[in-house]
Amino acid sequence: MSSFLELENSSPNIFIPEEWSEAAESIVFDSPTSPPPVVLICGAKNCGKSTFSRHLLNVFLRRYKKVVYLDSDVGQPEFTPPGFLSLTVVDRLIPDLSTPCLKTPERCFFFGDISSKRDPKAYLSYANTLYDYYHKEYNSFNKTEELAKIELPLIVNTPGWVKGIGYEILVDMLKYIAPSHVVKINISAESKNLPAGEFWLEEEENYGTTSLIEIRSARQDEFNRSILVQKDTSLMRDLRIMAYFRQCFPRDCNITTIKELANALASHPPYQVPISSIKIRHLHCQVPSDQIFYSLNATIVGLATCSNNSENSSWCVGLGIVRGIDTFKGLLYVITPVPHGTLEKVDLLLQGFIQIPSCLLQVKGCISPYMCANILPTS
Amino acid sequence: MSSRIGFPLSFHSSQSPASSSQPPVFLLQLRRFSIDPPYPPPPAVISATPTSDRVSPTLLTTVCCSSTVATSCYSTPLQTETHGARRRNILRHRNHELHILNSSVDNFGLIQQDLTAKLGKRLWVSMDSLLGFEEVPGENEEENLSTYSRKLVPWSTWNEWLFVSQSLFSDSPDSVAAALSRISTWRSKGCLPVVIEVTASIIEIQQKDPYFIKNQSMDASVRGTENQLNLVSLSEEALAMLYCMAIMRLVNGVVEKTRKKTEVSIAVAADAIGLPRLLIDIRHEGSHRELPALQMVRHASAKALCWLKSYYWEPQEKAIPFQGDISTSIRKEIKSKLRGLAFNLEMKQNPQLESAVVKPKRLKTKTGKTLKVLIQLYSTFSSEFVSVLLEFLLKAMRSSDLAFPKNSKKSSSSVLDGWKLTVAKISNKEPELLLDLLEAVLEKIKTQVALEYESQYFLPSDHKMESCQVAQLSSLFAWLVDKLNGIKLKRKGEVFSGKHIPKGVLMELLRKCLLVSAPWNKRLLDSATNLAQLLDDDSLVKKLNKLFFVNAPISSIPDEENPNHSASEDSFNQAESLREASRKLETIKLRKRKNNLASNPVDGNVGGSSRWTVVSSWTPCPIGMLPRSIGCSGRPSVLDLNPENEPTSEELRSKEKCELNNSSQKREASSDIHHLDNSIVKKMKDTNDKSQLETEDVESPEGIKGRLLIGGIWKNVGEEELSAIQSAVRILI
Repeated sequence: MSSFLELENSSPNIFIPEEWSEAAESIVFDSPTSPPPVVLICGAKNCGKSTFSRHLLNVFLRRYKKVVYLDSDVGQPEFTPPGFLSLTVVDRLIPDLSTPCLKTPERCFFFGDISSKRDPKAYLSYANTLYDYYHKEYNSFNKTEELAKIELPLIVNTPGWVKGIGYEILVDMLKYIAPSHVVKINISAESKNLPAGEFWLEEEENYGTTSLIEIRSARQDEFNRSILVQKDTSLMRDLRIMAYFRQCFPRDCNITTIKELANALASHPPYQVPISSIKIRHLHCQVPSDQIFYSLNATIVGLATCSNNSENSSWCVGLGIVRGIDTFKGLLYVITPVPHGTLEKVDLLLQGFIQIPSCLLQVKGCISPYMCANILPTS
Repeated sequence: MSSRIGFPLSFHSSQSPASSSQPPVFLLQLRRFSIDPPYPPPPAVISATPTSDRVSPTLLTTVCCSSTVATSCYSTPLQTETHGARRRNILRHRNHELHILNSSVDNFGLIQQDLTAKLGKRLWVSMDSLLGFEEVPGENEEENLSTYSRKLVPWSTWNEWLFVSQSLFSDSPDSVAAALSRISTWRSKGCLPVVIEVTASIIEIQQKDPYFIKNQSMDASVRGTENQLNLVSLSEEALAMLYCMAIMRLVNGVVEKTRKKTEVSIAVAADAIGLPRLLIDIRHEGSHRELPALQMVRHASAKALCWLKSYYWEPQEKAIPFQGDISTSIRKEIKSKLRGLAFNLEMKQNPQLESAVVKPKRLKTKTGKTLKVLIQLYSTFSSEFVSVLLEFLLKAMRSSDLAFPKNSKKSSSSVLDGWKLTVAKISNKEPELLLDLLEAVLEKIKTQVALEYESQYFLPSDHKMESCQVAQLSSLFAWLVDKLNGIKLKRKGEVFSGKHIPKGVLMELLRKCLLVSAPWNKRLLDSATNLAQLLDDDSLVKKLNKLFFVNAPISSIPDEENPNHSASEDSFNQAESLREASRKLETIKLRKRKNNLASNPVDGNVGGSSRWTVVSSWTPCPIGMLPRSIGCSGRPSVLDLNPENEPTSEELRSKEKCELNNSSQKREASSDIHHLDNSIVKKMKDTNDKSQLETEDVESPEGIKGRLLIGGIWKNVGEEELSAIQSAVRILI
C-alpha cells in the first residue's frame, strides 16, 4: 500500500492517504463558518484518530486563525499529560504529525486515570462541561451580544474504547455534543469497529444535522500490532509525564537525559504550601482520613481550584509532584511547572491513579524510599 | 560517579556542537539518518572504557526495560528474525520513544525551535553512544542490576511493611483494623502488589463473618459484641459471594502474573506455585456454576490466607535486608573496609614496610578495590559511614594527643595522618563526604558543648577533658574546611573545585557552625570565615568579621589553654568586656528592631496573600523525603496526621536548647533569668496549673505557643520581650 503509516518508526514522514485528505478538506472548506463546524473523530484503538485529528487541525488552520481542540482521550491526550480532559485553543500548525506535543490548555479537568472506566459519570460530565465552555465562548449564535468573540471550529478527539461501557460513553458524548461532522475511522478487523451508520441515533431520530464521514484506517494491513502498542503506551505515558515536568526548568537548561531530569527534579527547589490552606481529595479511592499523607507523599496530583458551585467540576491548572510533606511545619512541598501566578489560585489537590514514572524516583544516591529493592518477584 | 549534590556538570561529547539556529526539519532528517544503522553493532562490543562515568544507570535501565519490552513484543510475530534484525527493531523502538520525549518537551507552548535542535540533538547523541554499547561500564553493572530490580511500592520503609504484616495477622482487632486501613491507603497509590490486596480483602471479609467474630469474641468479649451488633445485616449468601469474589481475584491475580504463556491451563499454572486446588475449583464454580456454599468458601478463605502467608508474606519478610541488626552489621562492614584502606595507604606511605609484605602493584589494585567498595557503602549508608569514620578520626586524634602532650603538638601521629589520607582519598571520589563529615562534626560539637554544661554543673573536674574534645573537634573541622577549600576534581573534562558546591549547602553549614561555636573558639570561627570565603561573598566575610569583632573582647576571656590567670585580672577583664558587650548589644538591638519594622515576616512567609511560595533554599533529596541540611540522603517525613502531641514538645525542647546554646552558658542563664521575671514577663494566670508540669509533659501544644518556660512557669512573651531576654542573657554572661 502506498499510504502506509509506519508508527513504530519515529520518522515524521507520515503519508496521509488520499481518502483522509479529501475528508479533511471537505470538512474544512465545504462547511459554513457560522456556526463553525464541530468535528468528532471516533474509531477503535490505534486506528489513527489522533493522527487524523492533527492533520485536520492543520487543514483547519488554513482557513481559521485558531482552532479549538477538545481532547477526551485521557490515556493518550494530545496536549496534556495523561489523565486530563482538556480544551485547547491552537493557533499554530503541528509540525510533526507523528507525535503529540504539550500545550497549555485553556480549560482542563484532571480525571486522574488513564481510562474512563474508573468513573464514567464523572468522565462524561467533564467532557460535557468542556463542550459547554466551548459553546459559550467560541460557538455563540447570539452575535449581537458578543461581538468581540470569534467563532472557532472544534475538533473532538475520543478514546479508542468503543465496546461495552466505552461505547455507551461515546454515544452519550455524541448525543450531547451533536457535532456537525462525525469522522469514523474503520479498521480491517470488522468486529472491533463501531457499528455501521449513524449508530448513536435512536430509531426515527432526525437525520441530516450531522454528516457522517467514514474512512479507513491507514494501517489496515498491519497485523498483530496491538500488543506492541499496548506496551508502548505505558512507556509513552511516562515519557509524557517526564516531558511535562521538564518544563520546570528553563529551556536552555542543560538537561539531556532522563537521569539528568530526575536529578534536576530532586534538587529543584519546590513550592511550599501550608497544608491548612489546601484541600486534598482522592478521585477514585477512599483514603482513611488520618492517613492522607501516607497516600499523598511522592505522588502526582492534579492542581485544581475549589469551585463554589459543585463538587465535581473543579478546573485544573496542571500537575504537581508532592515531593515531601513536613507535618511539623505543616507544609507540603510540590514540584510543578505551573507558573506562580496561576498556582496562587490552587487550593485543591486531586489525587488519582496517574503514577509517577519510576525512573524519576531513582536518582543515584538519591533514591526515593518508595523505590524498593529486595521485592519478591512473585509479588 | 556522578555528584549527588548537583554540581554543575555538562554533557561532553565531541559530536554535539549544537548550533542553535538549525532548522528543525534538517534536524529531524539528521536524526532519522542515524536511526537506522546499516549494521547493528554486535553485542560483543560491550566493554568498559575509561569514560564510562557518562552513562547514566537510570537511562541504561530504561533502555534495558524498553529493549526487553520490545524484544518480547516482537518475539511472537517475528520469531524467525535474525538477531541483528531484532536489535534493529529495538533500536527503532527506543528511538521512537525518545523522539516523543523530545518533541513533547520542545513543542510546549511558545516553543523556540533552536531548543528543539539543541535538546533533540543532545539527547540523540547520548542515546547514540548508549545504543552503540560503547560506554557500558563494566564496574557499574552490578549497580545497574540493583536499580533494575527496584520496584515502586506504596510503603516507604520496610518497617512500615513489617508493621502491616504483623498487625494483619495479629489477634487484636484493633491491630488488624490499623493494618487494613494502611493497606487501603496503599491501594490509593496504585502500586499495591496483588497478593497484599487479596490478603486484605479476605481478612476484611472474615472480619464481617460472624463465624470468625465469635472466635474473636472469646478473646476480646467486649469488642466482639460491639462488632456483632454492627454486622448482623450480612446474609450468608452475600457473605459467600464476598468470599468467592476474593478467591477468584486471588487465583486470577496471582496466576496471571506467573503464567507466562497462555497455552498453560490455570490449573497447571496454579499447581506450579502450590496454590491449593480447592481455590481453583471455587473460582471455576463461582464464575460458571452455582455459588459455592458459605462453609466451603469460609474454609477456603482460611486456606487461601495460609497459602498467601507461605507464598508471599513470610518469604518477603525473610528477603528484607539487614533486618533487626541492620546498623551493627553494616557498621562492622564499614569499619573493616575503612581499616583496610587506611592500612593500605599507610603501607604506601612507608615503602620500606610495603615491599616486605606485598608487591606495590597488587597493593594498588587492592587499594582501588577497597575504595570502590567503600564508596558504594557510603552512597547507600551515608550516615553510618560518616559516624564510623568520625569515630576513627576522633580516636586517632585522642591517641595522638595522649602520646604527644600539648606542648609538642608539632609531631602529630602517623595514625592520624593515615586517617586523614583515607578521608582525602575517599573525598576525592565523593566530595560530599566532606560536607557530611563537617556536619557530623558540628553535630558532635553541639552535643559535646551541651554535655559540657551538664558536667560543668555537676562535676567540674571533667570540664577540661570535655572541652579538650571540643578543641579536637574544632581542629578537625578546620582541617576539613581546608580540605573542602582545596578540593579539585577532574570530572567529565571539567575541573571541579570547592567553588562548585551549592551555596545553599555552604550557607547552611556556616549557619550551623556559627550556631554551635562558642565565642572563644577561635578555630571554629576561623573555619567559619574560611567557609564564607569559599562562598565567594565579600559582604558575608565582612559581616562575619564584624560579628567576631563583637565577640573579640569576650574571646579574651581565658580559655582552657591558659587557665592560670590571676583572679583579679580575670574579673576586671570580665567586667570590662561585659560593659563593652552590653553597649554593642544595645545598638544591635536597636538596629534589629528597626529592621523588623521595615520588613515584617521574614521567616516562613506563610501569611499574607501568597499561599504558594518557592522554598528559598533547598538541598537535593529523594522524592518522598525531606531534605537534610547538608547532603542529599534526605530524611523520612512523619506522615501521621496528628503528630503534634509528642514531637511538638520535642521541637520546643530543641528550640530551647538552641536558644540556650546561643547564650553559651546555661548555668548563668537559667539562674539569672529569675531577675528578669518581674520586670519583663507578665505571669499568665491561666497557665499557673501548668507550671507544675515538666517540659516533657506538655500535652497541648497550642497552649504553649508564644510562651517561654521560665523558672518552670510558662510565660507569655512577645517579640520585644524575647529580644530583651536574649540581650539580657547576653549581658549576664
